[in-house]
Order: sequence, then structure tokens, then C-alpha cells
Amino acid sequence: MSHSEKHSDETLRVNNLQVNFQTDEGELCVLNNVSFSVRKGQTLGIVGESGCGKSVTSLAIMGLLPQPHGRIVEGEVIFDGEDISRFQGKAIRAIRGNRIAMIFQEPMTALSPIKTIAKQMFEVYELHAPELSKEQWKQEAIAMLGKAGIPDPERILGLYPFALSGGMRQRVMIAMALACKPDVLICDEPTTALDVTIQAQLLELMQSLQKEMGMAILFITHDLGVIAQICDEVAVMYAGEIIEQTDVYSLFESPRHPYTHGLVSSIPSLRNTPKTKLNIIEGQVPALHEMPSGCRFSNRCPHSDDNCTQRAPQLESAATNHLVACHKYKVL
Amino acid sequence: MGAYFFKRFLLIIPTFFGVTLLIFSMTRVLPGGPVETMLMQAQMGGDAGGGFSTQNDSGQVLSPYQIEELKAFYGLDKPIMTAYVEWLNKIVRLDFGESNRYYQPVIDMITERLPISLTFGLVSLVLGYLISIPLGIVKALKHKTTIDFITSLAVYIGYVLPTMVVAIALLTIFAFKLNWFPLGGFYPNNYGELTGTWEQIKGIFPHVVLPLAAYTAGSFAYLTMLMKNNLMDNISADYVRTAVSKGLSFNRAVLRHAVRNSIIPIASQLGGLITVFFAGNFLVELIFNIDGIGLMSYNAIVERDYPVVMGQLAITVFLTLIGNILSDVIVAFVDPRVKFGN
Ligand SMILES: Nc1ncnc2c1ncn2[C@@H]1O[C@H](COP(=O)(O)OP(=O)(O)OP(=O)(O)O)[C@@H](O)[C@H]1O
Ligand SMILES: [Mg+2]
Repeated sequence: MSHSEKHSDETLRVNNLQVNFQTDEGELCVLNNVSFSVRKGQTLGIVGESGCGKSVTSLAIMGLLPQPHGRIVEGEVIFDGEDISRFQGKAIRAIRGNRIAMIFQEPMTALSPIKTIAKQMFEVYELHAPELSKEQWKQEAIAMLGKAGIPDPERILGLYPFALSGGMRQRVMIAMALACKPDVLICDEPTTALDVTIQAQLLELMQSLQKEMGMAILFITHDLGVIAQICDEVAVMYAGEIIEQTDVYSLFESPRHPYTHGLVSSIPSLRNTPKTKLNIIEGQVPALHEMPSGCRFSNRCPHSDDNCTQRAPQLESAATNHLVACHKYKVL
Repeated sequence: MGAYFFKRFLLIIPTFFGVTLLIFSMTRVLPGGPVETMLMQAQMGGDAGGGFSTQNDSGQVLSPYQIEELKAFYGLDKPIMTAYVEWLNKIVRLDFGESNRYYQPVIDMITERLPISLTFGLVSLVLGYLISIPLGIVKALKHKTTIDFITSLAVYIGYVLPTMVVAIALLTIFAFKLNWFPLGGFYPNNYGELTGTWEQIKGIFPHVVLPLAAYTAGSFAYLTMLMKNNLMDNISADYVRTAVSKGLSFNRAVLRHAVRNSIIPIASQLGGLITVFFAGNFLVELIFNIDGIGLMSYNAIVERDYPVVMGQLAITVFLTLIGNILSDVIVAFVDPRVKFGN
């Protein structure tokens, strides 16, 4: 899929995004040439190890990169036909929380501890639906909390976050994010901090809300199990680059990149003999300031050769709707 | 919650007994009690007086019998516990006794100086908060910018210099050199002639500027940094990021969400402010020649004027204990997470 190719139902498109951070080690390239798109009613998963740049990607889209040291050096974020990465002030704030909303990893800390749920939810309406009356805000909030699976929403509105469990708080976060019926919902590991049962319930909830409201979801996680459950398309990130991108079936059935292959085969399977050694990927992600000049995975790749360590591979089409950045995917 | 505060109030009683009994006992066992101090002074006076000696054979000014009389007069002849219970009996009826030195009711000595303490205590307090909280907010929002660096300089100076040094510096520069303010005292010379509260305030004003500046400088550095650091912690908290991702501007997210959270630790100190009634640093009072409660207490200790020491202590202890409870009430008000009792 080339970048010029245009899908009519494409809600959000990220083109060749490069993000740099000014650090003590100098200016580091945290995201390099990242491109993907999310479609209406569909879910794109971004998966990768800790530190590979998943959160930075979502913050860059929202225009929330840590200031002043983080900045978009190159690329665009196309939403509704416009490059919102150039938007500032009021323009971007009118989009945030309204047309592109976000939920975060830590439900325990993501809500202000000393304001009631009502106050925090009303803030969204105050910002994006000031024409409604306070009573309407309340009715909207109650309806939304109800949709998010919260029992007795009217009572919950009067509570403070500390009175709610982690799962309940994340439901509040979901209700708050969906309050303005956004076109895009970005979820940065929304279930990582929760136990498996709650996680499964929330994933199901998000899927049914997506069916109902039709928003595009960008779902960030490092958990392939979650990816398998909720995503339509998957982008695999490694050290700030997307190294493979395809639909969720192809990813699990025929991973092309050695890194993806490692990830997929490191999932414990019921078919395997119990207590056999899991297939883990040896070594560590190189630090950003000592990135190899060629393929960024070359120092851990069992198949790397001189070509790999010297020339950086580009994303190329390996099959229909299957991109991979590897010199050797054909021979593997 | 009511039960919790009732318990806290009950706890005041044993704490009050404990502290006052401790100090009361110390006044009894420490050498150099009021009688000894007077004897020493009388002796020195006798020596200076030359031939006018009233000394008896043993070289003492007074006979042992007279000393016993004196001790009985000051109530020093009874066992500690008996004397303490007597003192306590009077205190609970708000009878603070008389000064050993000035033969004036202790309560009068205190109320006379109350306006001074209140003026300095309240004004420097309000001023301190009015400067420190906004400054802390600005410093946190403009962290590592020029404004932050320049104000940090003032904060560090305020932090490292003792109040006394600031007081002397202010006096030297603005009173001696520049002659902008009077050299000391609290009441102007013509205070008696001034009629009307407004006129009196205008008369006192030039006298309080420098001491006030000294007092405020003392607390401002600590408060400013407390505010800034609290706010810095809260600015990077997840809930601020949530607020911004809802569409709030960063500054508004900070003011609406982070500032209120950062004020909680500061609010928890507010109860202690009830002691402003007794505020007064004796060094500042000494430097500016103000006859306030700080100086009074200091002199009472030096002169072994125990009724004054104990009276002042009883009030301070009581106010501090009430202040602690007040702090808890305030915290319960500003922080919904805090609920006392079950
Ligand atoms: N404020 C910052 N200043 C400097 N570097 C940063 C900053 N935030 C993130 N980084 C760097 O950017 C890289 C990507 O970080 P990011 O938070 O996107 O990782 P992630 O994939 O979300 O990891 P995780 O799964 O742990 O959340 C990391 O190497 C990190 O060190
Ligand atoms: Mg992250």
C-alpha cells in the first residue's frame, strides 16, 4: 500500500512521522518514518516492546509531546483532510477530547483524586458542548456511563475516584473519552494495569461500543493476546520503527519479520508440551543513542548478515496488505 | 467524623497536663530560681552600694528564715505535685497569677502585647501566602526559565539568611541609611494623641513595615518552594495529562486540577496558624525595639519570672493542640479522600 493510495473510510492517517527528543545524550530520534492509517469502525493495534515508541506515537497524534524537548521533525497527521500536527492552540484543543479522544494505562491515577466524577465528566461537555444546559450534561453523562457498563450511574457521578475500583475507573475514562462521540479513540494500554477478567470485560465493552458508535480505534499494547482479541489490523513496532504491518490473521498465521516471528512464537500455546522453554527473543533493544546503522533489529536477529548491519531495510509489500521491513523475509 | 474529633478533643487534656507538668517541674529543679536570682542581684547591688551593707555574719543578704519566707511567698515551699495542682486549679479558672518581677497580673501583660503579635502574625501570614502561592505557581509553570532563576535567587537568600540577619540588614539599609522608616518601636510617640482607628493604623504603619518584611522573608522562601515542588509533582501527574487530552489548555489544566491538589499539604499547616495570637520572634522584637510577646517570654525566662513563663506556655500549648485539630478539619474539608473515623 503506497501512501498516495487513498481510502475513503480512512479516519486518521499518519505519514512518515519522525519524532525527536532533546536529551542529555543529544537529539535522539524516537520515532522514525512511522506511517499507518486507522479506518472508520476498525481497530489498528500497535504492538511492541516497552520503550519502542508506542506512547510517543499516540502523544504525537494528540499534539501532546512533552514540551519543550519533544518535537515532530517530519511527517504529517492527517485527520479530516487536514494535517493536525501543524495545529496549535484552540485549533488542536477543539479536536482533543472531542473528535480524537484518548484513554490511558493507569486508571488509578488518570482521574483527578479530589474532583467528583461528575465534575470531571462535565468538563468535557463544558469544553465541547457549551450550548447544552447543565441538566443536559448530566443526562448525557448518565447515559454515557450507563453505556460504559457502570451500574447506577447517577450515584457514581457524585463519587470521588477513590471510591471506585480500577476497572470502574477505566469505565469512567471510557465514558469520558466517548462523551463527544469522537471519530478516533486512542487507547494506550488501557487494560494493562487490570486483572484478566476485568481486561476481557473492557475489551468486549470497547468492541460493542465501537460497533454502536463506529469510531476508529488505535489500540496500543504489548500483549499479543489482546491484539488477537480486539484488532483488525496490526502494526509491529521495534525501536521507533514499524517493521511489519498487516491484518491480524496474517500476523499470527504468517509473520514475515524475524522479530514478529519471535513475538508470535513466544506466546505459550496449549498445543505445546507443558513446561517446555518458551521461544524468547535473545538480547535487548539497543539504546536510542547507539542504534545500529543498518537494520535496528540486526544485533538480535538470528538471520542477520553484513547487508543487514549496514543497510536499513525499508517497508515493502510482501503480500497483499502485508508490509514488512526486512532484507531477508523472502528467504526465511 | 464527629466521634473522631471528640476523641481528639479529649486527648488535649492529657497532652496539656503532660507538657505543662514537665515544664513546671523543670522550673522547680533547675538551679537559679527566682529567689536565688533576686539574692544574687541584691548581693551585687549591696557590693556596689559599699558601706550600706545589710549582710549578716554568714555573708548572706537574707537570713535562712527570710529566704524561707520568700520561697513561701512565691509558692516554692510546697512539693512539686502539690504546687502543680494548685497552679492547674487556677489555670483552668483562667487565673494566670501575678508576675514575680512586675507584680502585675500575667494576663494583663499578655493582653497588652496581643495587638502587636496579632498585627505581625496575621499580616505576615497573609502576606506570606499571598506572595508564596502565586509565586510558587508561576515558578512551577515557568520552570527553568529566566523568571524561575531570578526568583530562585530571592528564595535562596530568604532561605539561608536567618530572620535576625534579614532584620538587621533591613534596619541598617532602610532606617539608618535611607531614613525611610523609624528605627524601632511599635507605637509612634504621639500615639496617645491619635484619634480614630484609621489614624492609629496610619501612625503604626511605618513602624511595622520593616519587621513585617523580616517576618515574611522568613516564611516566604519555605512556602514558595513547598508550593512549587508540590505543583511540579502534580503537573506531571497522569490526571493533568487526562485533562489536557480532554481539550483543556495546559495552563488551565494546571490551575484547575493540579493547583488544588498541591495546596492540600499547605492547607494542612493552616491549623498551626492559630498560634499567630502569640507570634513574635524575640530577636526581631529586640532588633526593632518592639515590646512584644516574644521579648516578654524571653525576659521572663532570663529573670525566672515563672508565672509569666507558665502562663504563656499554657496558652501556647493549648492553642497548638487546638491548631492541630483545626488542621485535620481543614484537610478533611479540602481533601475528599480524608475521612476520619469510620
Ligand atoms: N519525556 C521524554 N524524554 C526523553 N525521552 C523520552 C520521553 N518519553 C519517552 N522517551 C523515550 O522515547 C522512547 C519511546 O517511549 P514510549 O513511552 O513511547 O515507549 P512505549 O512503547 O510506550 O513503552 P511502554 O510499553 O513501556 O509504555 C523511549 O526510549 C523513551 O526512553
Ligand atoms: Mg507507553
